[in-house]
Amino acid sequence: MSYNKVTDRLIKELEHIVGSENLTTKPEELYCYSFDGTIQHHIPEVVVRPKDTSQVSEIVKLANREKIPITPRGSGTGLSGATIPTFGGIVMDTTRMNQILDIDIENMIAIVEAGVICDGLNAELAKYGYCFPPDPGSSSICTIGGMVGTNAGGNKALKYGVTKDHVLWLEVVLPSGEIIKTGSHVLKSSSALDITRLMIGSEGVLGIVTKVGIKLTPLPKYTSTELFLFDAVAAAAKAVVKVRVAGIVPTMLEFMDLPTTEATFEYAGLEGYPEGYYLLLECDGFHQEAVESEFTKAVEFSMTEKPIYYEKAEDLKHRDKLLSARKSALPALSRLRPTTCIEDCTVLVTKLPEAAMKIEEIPSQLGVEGFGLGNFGHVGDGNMHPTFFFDERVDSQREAFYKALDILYKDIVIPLGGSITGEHGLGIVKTPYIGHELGSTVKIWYDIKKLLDPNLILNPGKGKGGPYPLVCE
Amino acid sequence: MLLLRGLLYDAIELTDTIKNRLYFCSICGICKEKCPPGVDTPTIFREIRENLVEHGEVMENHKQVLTNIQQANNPFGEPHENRLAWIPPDIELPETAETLYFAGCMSSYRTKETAINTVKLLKASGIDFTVSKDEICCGSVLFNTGFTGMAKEFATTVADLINSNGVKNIVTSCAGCYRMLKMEYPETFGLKLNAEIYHTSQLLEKLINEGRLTPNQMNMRVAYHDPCHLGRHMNEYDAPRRVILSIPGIELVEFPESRELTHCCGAGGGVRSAFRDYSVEIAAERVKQANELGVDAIVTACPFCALNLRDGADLIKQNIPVFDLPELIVKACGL
Repeated sequence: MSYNKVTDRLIKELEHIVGSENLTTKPEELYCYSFDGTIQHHIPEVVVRPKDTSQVSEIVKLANREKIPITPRGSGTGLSGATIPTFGGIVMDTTRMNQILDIDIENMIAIVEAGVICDGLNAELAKYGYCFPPDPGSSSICTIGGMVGTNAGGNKALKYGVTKDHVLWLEVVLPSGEIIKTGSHVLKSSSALDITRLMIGSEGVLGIVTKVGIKLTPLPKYTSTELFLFDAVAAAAKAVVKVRVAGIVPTMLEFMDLPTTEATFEYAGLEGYPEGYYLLLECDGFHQEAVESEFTKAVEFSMTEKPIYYEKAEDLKHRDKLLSARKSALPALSRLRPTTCIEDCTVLVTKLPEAAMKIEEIPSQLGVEGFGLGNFGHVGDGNMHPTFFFDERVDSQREAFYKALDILYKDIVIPLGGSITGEHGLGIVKTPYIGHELGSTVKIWYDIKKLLDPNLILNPGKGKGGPYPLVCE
Repeated sequence: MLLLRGLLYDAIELTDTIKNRLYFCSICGICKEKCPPGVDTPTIFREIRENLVEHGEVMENHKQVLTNIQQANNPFGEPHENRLAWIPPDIELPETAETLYFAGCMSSYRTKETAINTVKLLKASGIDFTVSKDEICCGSVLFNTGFTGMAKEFATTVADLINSNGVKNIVTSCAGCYRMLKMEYPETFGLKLNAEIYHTSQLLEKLINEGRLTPNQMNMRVAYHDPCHLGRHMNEYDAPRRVILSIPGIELVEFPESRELTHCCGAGGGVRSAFRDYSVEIAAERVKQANELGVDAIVTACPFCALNLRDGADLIKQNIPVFDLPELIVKACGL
């Protein structure tokens, strides 16, 4: 793929659209927009910050006309490189579009602009006793648009599902600049081809989301939580299998391996606990007896794997304390070494024990000093986040990271019939592995991409947009 | 931090814009407070400034501050011999005492009411104290603007002064001096002070609890502004609040961003020296918060915060008094 460069004339046109104060070509600012949550980076030529859908449309039309690549971006907290402008061009920062447009409690629907922050939305909804359930670890910073881009999940996805389960419709600017609304403003409709779900998780390669119609969920009234510590990863994983195979759907089943538990307990100030693999079980709902009944059964199944320690939360404060360790997994691990890369994979629940044990072996398999691993995740639906920590400035450790990715995805996850991403998306990092997971199916994506974006201007260089193999600058 | 990464990896060049960004930080520490992994941004910024200074990349105004301190022992370049001119003529101080009041440069030359009111309170409470004619800059502004070596020289001189005087206690009204004396001197410069270091708020609390100072009724609604150097850096949030609440009739209101999350006044870290207008604009934002709270006054426990907040109030033409804590207690005690 080749594109034209952004010229001074185009800068003036862009300034005319968004205002000079909402556009930058300063090298130091462009550099900051080169990054996301990975170690990938590439500098754009210009960053624009539109205020509304019409400005987004004008910018996209201009880019399409001039064959300039556009990379949309929310808060830039993505973990797969999806917002890295790998072909330079325009980065479109959507965070100025940050209004909650409507909260209709009676109809349980809200409308938000793409730049609304997840926790900010939930703070407003909580006033009415409702929520938008997906809760990624970055919820205090990430935008709803970004969550749509990756189909974000989080701790509670096991019971409440992921982003696509709570989105009714989208307003999207297509690569042509055309503005479309993908669905109906009702809770249930079968009138359309499901363009909404085509767009969700498309990582900005098919269109730029500007508004989101959200289905609201009532906040549960009762919660029961218990912490288990096991002396082996297999025991923790088997406990999960037993709970799930029994047909129980807890709100959360969160796991951490030994290094992660050690790092997070120290970080969170949890003292006096034995060393062990962490499993946090939580059930919630509206009727206390029902919650307790389900919770008690789940605890019974977990206990059959003989945890070395268990502790039930006495109240919400106690629950928050037990959960705080899990929530601090990434910051705690990121303090261990200069570079931290969090990965994301999903296997069938029954394959969890084998996957977790094999993942645990990756550092010793590579035998590179200074290269380590902490694994944690939402194991209730088989989703794990193996997190590698190392020093990217040391050649042997950086090379070990890329070998670790090969082992993780090609030798462990895909042979077990798993998926190379549960919620972070393909971006750049996992694109080399998608053919191994889905084979020739991925070619259809490129056909769809070419149909909507014949000039391939929207977020090029990312796995879901093809073509394959991808060539980046 | 990304800019620092870019410089480290030679991905970007040090331009004037980037240099300004690296100096346009008050080192207030709120980023470290909010950062989940707890990246020590204040220390990183101090060290990058040290590196910039070594390479001659210094802000012009900071150069002048350095010259002033080297020549006159204070950042304003005011004559050193005038350092104690703030002492009221009716206050006699002994040559030596158990407690040394370290006024600091700001109170000695600019916000003199802080020093004057502090000694009034110390006198009224019967504390055996004095001040030193040999007092010089504690080195705080040098330390925060990259002149670490010079900061250590001044710190060594101050430490020698304190240790040779045989004082048991040091009291300072300046949050910056308190931080330097209590933390940076021993931990960064390896200088042991043979005296207990107190901030005025801590001593005032003790004196009020012992009945040596008795605040009278004062019906006023105030908001307390946590100075970064006293609060976030030294973990002292409560002594000033308890002192304020010891005044009968006072209603203490919290800013929306207070304690660990206090909104910096914008003065510290060399920002007021190098970026005066922006510094005062930051202070004005804090004053706006106070107006929204509907308070009668802002109270703080740092003369530098007081100065910048007053300038911030002037900028937006808000007639809201800003009291440094000693001033408020003097009023309350009718001294």
